[in-house]
Formats: sequence, structure tokens, C-alpha cells
Amino acid sequence: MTAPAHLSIVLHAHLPFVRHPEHEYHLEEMWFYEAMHETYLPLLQMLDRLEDDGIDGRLTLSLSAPLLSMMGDYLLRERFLAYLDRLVDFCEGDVERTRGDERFQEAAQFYLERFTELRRYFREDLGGDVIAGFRRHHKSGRLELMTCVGTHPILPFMATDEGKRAQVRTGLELFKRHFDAQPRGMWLAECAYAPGVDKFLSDEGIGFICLEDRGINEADAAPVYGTYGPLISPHGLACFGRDQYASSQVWSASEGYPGDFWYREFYRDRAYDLPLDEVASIIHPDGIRHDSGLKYHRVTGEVELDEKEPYRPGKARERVSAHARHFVESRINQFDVVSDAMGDRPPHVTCPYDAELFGHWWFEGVLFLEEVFRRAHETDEFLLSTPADYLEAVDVHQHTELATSTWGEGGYFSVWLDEGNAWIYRHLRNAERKMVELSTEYHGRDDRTDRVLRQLGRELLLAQSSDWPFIIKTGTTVEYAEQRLDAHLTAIARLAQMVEGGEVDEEYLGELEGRDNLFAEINVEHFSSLSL
Amino acid sequence: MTDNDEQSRRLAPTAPELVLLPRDPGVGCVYWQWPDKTGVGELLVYVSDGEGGDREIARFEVDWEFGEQFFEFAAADRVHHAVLRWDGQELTSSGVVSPRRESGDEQPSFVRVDFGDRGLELEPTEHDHPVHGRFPASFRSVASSSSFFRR
Repeated sequence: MTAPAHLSIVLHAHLPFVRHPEHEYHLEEMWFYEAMHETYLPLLQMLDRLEDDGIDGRLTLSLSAPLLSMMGDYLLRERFLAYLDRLVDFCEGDVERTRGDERFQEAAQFYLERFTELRRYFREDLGGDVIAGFRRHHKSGRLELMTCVGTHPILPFMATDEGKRAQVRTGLELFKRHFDAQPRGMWLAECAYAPGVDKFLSDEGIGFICLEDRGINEADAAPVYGTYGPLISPHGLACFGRDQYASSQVWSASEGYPGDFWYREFYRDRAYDLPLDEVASIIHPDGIRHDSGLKYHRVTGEVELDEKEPYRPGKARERVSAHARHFVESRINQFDVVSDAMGDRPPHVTCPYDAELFGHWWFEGVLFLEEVFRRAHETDEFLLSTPADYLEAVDVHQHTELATSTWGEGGYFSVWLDEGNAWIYRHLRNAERKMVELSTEYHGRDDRTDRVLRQLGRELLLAQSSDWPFIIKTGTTVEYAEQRLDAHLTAIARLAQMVEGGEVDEEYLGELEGRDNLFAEINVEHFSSLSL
Repeated sequence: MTDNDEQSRRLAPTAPELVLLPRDPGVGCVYWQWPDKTGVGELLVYVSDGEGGDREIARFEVDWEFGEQFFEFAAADRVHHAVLRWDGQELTSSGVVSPRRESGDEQPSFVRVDFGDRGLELEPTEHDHPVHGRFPASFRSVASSSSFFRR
């Protein structure tokens, strides 16, 4: 009898580190709060329900270091809770406001119940500690947790081996502090692979990564099992390629499930629909409107935003059920076709997605995932598995060099390297080399110099995030991305002067330490050429 | 971001430098930093002809001490390098290999994998596989990347 096929759903959760204690209210911090109430908390609630109902199946989740740092930060926790308070208060008022209004009453009541429950869950069940919730499911085996390379850099564009190693190790150390375990896999930021990158991960005991299917299909040797099995890289990293068929069912806005007319419309938000004085409590105190997460309309169809129909949560839930059934049946059919060609070997399908797709972009996405788990539980046609489980079940794999690739548009690097954002790389690479030079020469000289070097390392890691060139390319919050890059690069130059000149500007250093406070125990040695 | 004020707040390069970054099959990027150069320099990009020789594929005038330049080439050309000539001096980049659009022609080989606490241990092994050539797996590519702030 042939062993069952494996389906691995791999979610990558990441946000850039955005924390601004110098402002009481900061628009870009809202990215974190929105993702918390739309994606991370609902994912945990989903895992709790599956556990309560005895539904098996495993989920792989990558939590990046910047995200873990924000989840664990007390200031951001307090601000998030205050935001939830304001949302609940607003929703109570909105239920009154929409009383008798058949168009929006259902949605208003839905959001009041949702945010009230999310607040209770966050405050009481989790005690404000989201990481503890993920840790519990990791220890129970329901979650295969992994982390990302450091602050999410494009590794192939980095200048030095020391810098690459520091990114990998710093992210790993933060993960181990939170979860008391070595992750078996690691998320390669943007799935950006180039020959040689595998060494920095396998040197740290990492077993697997996910790549765009290009990385597999354009490898040095044609993959005999396509993306239905991993390729082992020259330095011993198992590389699982994204399955395009399953991905497109979920990712594609036009053909995928999220575009269903009954699902919630992302781009129309209550904070923009009502008069300013009525939404004052859920927008910026200066009267700047921003998304609130309260969206009362559905996709409807190819119509203008002001022609969208009211959102019906109950009807959307019916569509979730239909789409989950379709997804599971599609996988069963896919495995049927593939298994015939693979002989005795079980196929593996890798479905990697941004975690924030589920709940944030596709509001019903978390419910969809839950339904997939419940339906998969009822079939013996395939296992909801993880790449690590597959490597333990199947031990012979093809060995070759993987192809240079990313999971961005086009499959290569055009998202992160174009006429608009190319200017950043010489600054980043100069800064990286300077950090390597200074940590090699000055680390261990005295406590004060080491303190400056640690902050220099933090500023460098933050500057190297792929989020900044991504934002510049997509033209969204370009001013913020450029400000962040400028602030980190300026800080690096000033800190380097302090190290070399021996004079420390305590006020400035303290300001940076207070704001950019991730990686409290950063190890400067990782940047040093002496420890290569 | 190339005005003097911006530049002075950042780290200067420790030495003049010419760097190639691979982007796509057929598109590359070269940046240079050569402090205190004035006037006009000449930037040339070459690809390897695979027989030990080089073929010029692009030539640009350069009139700023820091900058970037994108260039196009045939996707089949993969190994390239650049040279910047200025005031009778010359900078040469390292060679870079650009991505390709098809698999290589290496013969399949296999390893037995032991997944332990420190990653994978590998041992070469024989393996009879029923499938030869590209597996009929692909569907058309769907772009995805971190997109939380894609409004």
C-alpha cells in the first residue's frame, strides 16, 4: 500500500519592526495592531478550537524576529489593548447607530461580538502574551514553528559572509529565547535564494526552507519529482518548492477564493465612510483617517467602491465552507494524478503563504484554514503535514544546486532591485562592511564600546529589512520607508564615529536604545571576522 | 538620494568600488562609488563568451561619483562583469552570474538524508525513479511576497 500524500501549509508571519515610543499615536504601528486582531489572534483561536475538537493535522508557521519582538514588547501590548478598547467602544455605538438599518445592523453586531471576544481572549486567556499561545501549540505538536532569517534581508544582496551569518544567528537566538527550541526550518526572506545561501542556514543546523517553484524547476539538474519532493542543496538544506496550482487557488485575487463576491471588501473601511466626528475615537487624534478593521461591505463584483453591497458575515461563512471543500477535493484529485506517476513514493505539496493573507487581506481566510483542517481530518487521502515530517517519512532525495529565485513578481529580484530602490544597496553594503570592520577591531575593548557596537548592529539589521525596498517599489508608504532607511543609516554613521573616535553621545545612544530595542542580547561577535 | 547632504550623513566607502547585482535573466544592475571623481567616466559591461573571452554588451557615460545603472543583455548570457574608466584610472567589478530560465543539464543524483538535531546528514545513494525529465507539476506562476502594506 502506498503511503499517504503530504500537504504542508506553511505560513510566514512577518512585519517590519515599527515601534515609536516618541509618538503617542503612530500610523505605521497600526500595521501591527491590525495584523494582531485580524490574523495572529484569530490563528491562535483557530488552533485552540481544533485542539478542543480533537482535529489532527499540523501547521507550519514562521514567526520573524521583528514580529516576535513586537509581540513581546510591553509598550505595543498596552497600545494594542487600548486600541481594542476603543474599537469595542466604537462598535457599541455603531450597533446603536445602525439599529433599524437592515443594511449594516448584522455587520455592526458581528464586529461588536468579535472585538469583545478578541479583547477578552487577548487579556484573559493569553494574559497579553501572544507568543505564549504559539509556544503552547508548538510544544503540543500542532504547530511546527520556525523563524525567518533575522530582520528579513535579501541575503543574496548582502556584502559579507559575516553579515549574512549575523542575520541568521541573531534571528535564531531570539527564536530560541522565546521557544526554548531550535527550529527545524527557516523562512528565507522573500524566498530569495542564490547558490551559497544554503551554507549560512545549514551551518546553524537548519534542515529545510521553502522556495518559489522556479528554484526547483530551474535547478542544476532537472527535478525528477518536480515540486512534489524537496531538492537537497549542496550544503545539505532541503528545499521545498511552492505548488503553483494550490497557491493560485488562494493567492489569485481574480481567480482565487478571496475574490468571491460574498467575502468582505478590503478596501472599504468604516473609518472613511462616516463623518469625521463619528470616527474620531478610532482614527489618529489629528483627524487623519486610517483603516480601522471595521469593513461593512462585501466584494460584490466588478463595481466601484461606492457601489459595494453590505457585508453578510453569515453568507460569507457559507462560501468559506464551499471553498474549503473545493480546496481539499482539488488536493485529493491532484494527489491522485501525481501518485500514479511517482510509484511508491508519497508526493508532497507545499503551500506557502504570507500569514497576513489570512484574516487581514482575506478576512475569511482563517475560517477557511480551519475548515481545510476539519475536512482533511475526515479523509485518509492525504496528511496535513510539515516539511520536517516529510523528511522523516521519506529519506532519499535528489541532490543538486538550486536556482537563483524569489517568490516576488517575475520570480527573480525585480521587486527589490529597480530604478526606484537600487540606491539603497550601496549604503547598506557600506554599512555592513563597516560593522564587520568595527566589530572585528573593537569588540571586547571595553563595555562602553561594546554597548555602542550592539546598537550599531541593531540599526544595521533594521536597515537591511527587505520591507523598505518593497514599499518603495510598490509606492505605498514610500515616505515612511525612506525615513526609516535614512534614520538607520544616519544612526550607523554616527555610532561608527563614536566607536572610532572613542567619544560616546550618551543622549543619542540612549534615544536609539529606547526606540530600536529589539535583540536586547545581540551578540556583536557574530559580525566579527575573527569568529568566521 | 544622491545629493551631497544625504551622502554626507552616511558612511563613505572605504575604497572606490564597482559592484554588480544580478536581477533577472537579461537584466542586471551595476553601482559605483568613486569619491571625488569629477568630469565624465566610461562604464562598460561585458559578458563571458564561455571560451575565456569577453564580449561588450553595454557602455554608458558616468558623470556622478555615486550611482546605479541598469543594463539589458541576452538571457542566455549569464556571466558578466563591469569596468569603470575615469581620469585614466580603472575600476573592475567582480564577476556575477545572473539567474537563468531553465534547468541545467546535470544528471540526477541522490542522497539519503538523516534529519537530526543539527539539520541534515547526507549520504550519497542510488535511487530508481519512475519519472524522467520535468515532472508535469507546474501551473502558471502567481506572484506573492510580503504584502501587508500593499494598499
